[in-house]
Amino acid sequence: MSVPASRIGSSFRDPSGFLFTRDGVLLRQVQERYRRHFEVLKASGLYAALVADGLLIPHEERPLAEAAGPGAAFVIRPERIPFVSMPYEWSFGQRRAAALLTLRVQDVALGHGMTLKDASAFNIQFRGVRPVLIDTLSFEIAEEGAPWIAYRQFCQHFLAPLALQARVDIRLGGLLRQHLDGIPLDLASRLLPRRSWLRPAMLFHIHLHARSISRHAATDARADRAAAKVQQARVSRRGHEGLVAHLRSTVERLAWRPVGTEWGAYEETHNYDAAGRDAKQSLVAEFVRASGARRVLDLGANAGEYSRVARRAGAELVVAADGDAVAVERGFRRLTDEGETGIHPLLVDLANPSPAQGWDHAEWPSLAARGPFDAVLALALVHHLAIGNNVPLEGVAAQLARLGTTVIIEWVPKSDPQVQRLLSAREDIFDRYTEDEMRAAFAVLGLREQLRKPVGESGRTLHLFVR
Amino acid sequence: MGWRRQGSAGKLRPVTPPDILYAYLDPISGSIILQALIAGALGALLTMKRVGFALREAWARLIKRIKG
Repeated sequence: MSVPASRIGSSFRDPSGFLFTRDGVLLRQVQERYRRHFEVLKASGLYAALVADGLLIPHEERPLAEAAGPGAAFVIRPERIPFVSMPYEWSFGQRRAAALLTLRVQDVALGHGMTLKDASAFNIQFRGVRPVLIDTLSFEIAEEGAPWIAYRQFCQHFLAPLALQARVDIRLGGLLRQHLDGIPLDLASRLLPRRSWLRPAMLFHIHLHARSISRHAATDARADRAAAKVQQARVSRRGHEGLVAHLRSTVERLAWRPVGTEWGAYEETHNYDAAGRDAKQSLVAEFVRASGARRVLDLGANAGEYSRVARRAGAELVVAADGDAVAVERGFRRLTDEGETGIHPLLVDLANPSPAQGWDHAEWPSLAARGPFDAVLALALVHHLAIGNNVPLEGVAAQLARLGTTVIIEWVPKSDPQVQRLLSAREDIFDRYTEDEMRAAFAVLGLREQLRKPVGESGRTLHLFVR
Repeated sequence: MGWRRQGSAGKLRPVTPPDILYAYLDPISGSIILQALIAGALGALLTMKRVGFALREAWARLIKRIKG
């Protein structure tokens, strides 16, 4: 009896094909209508060139019998990405790297007589810190003189958020959680400072682009005129290359210096001296090894210092999550310099983690739905949630237990200077903030304490909770 | 045209939908028209850049050969 196929929630917009899983294996069905493009993708050498350069996810072809529905021309099995992240969970540098990858792919595609038919940020994923295009069906045969149909999408998904983050405020990247198809160009145009009109790249790709969309949209009165103008619009091969080159230089020039946030310099200012830090690192490594975890979620990871420790302790994948844009960006840059591929930086606010998004709440999964991880690391984090955000210890334990099958916690007692700082300007209403209460909160969820050790002379303790 | 809204005197009056509505219904036309306009110029710039680079390279090679 064949195992039923389960279609991936986000894979329904493109009639060229769809993703599904069967028996835990990820497969993509390529529909008959896309056959010609898929064959050219292979025959032109584009697929081989992109895979060789690590720009496109590789796949193997599977028998047609594995198709999940009618109309199949091919079935392929793409390499699986260890952890899927959403564009609204990327740091500035990750978004920039994804944008540059998209432009590079388009450049290579043009050289092989094909073009990207979409430029969605959701088509890019990260293997560690390296971006890769995961949508094999994003290509179509380039028609002579046809404009790049994905130009607007590229500007909305990449250029507008990067420009807003670099030129206005880094936090504007959060708009992408609301605007899943990228930041509307008229909104970006309004938010950018007036002086950006003097920059040719911003002028053409954002401001005039937004006005052209509004001006030439097919209204009742000018539908025929707009259609005629669109039909007359021709872009030469050199024009295509010029456009891509200009977008690339624009993205490369959009720079942001990661400084000036609450947690940006945490690694230099936290409580431990060098000896204390070494002791904590050894202890964390010991606990990660004891958990036997292969996939670790490091919550409140800052720039990923202990994510590296977890990786060295045997984890194959560590997702280094933090809500501070500066900290995540610093981690991303450092990991990129080191060439580390097993740590994935993630920008996420734990007090407001990514929900299920998109059509029918099923298009883009929540952070919790992308778990559970083998282990969750919560080092010096619980007091921020329990005291800084007034989340009861039961609630903190429930979220951590949902995200991981084992939980490693660094408990920071009330006497600790960091907790005292949190309490300095407010009434202490946290009578139940005790180690025993935390232990009890995990016990109710079926997690027992397997290990407990003091972290040097700091007064803090490390705990391993297992099911 | 074709939309109507309640007038101040309670009468129905025709109104023209705002551009933003049309932009929502047809975001592609304006993007393509602008692209066709700027891509030509950017393609020409790219050609000039490449020609300039090639000329500089050739000039540098020539100078190197002359200097021996």
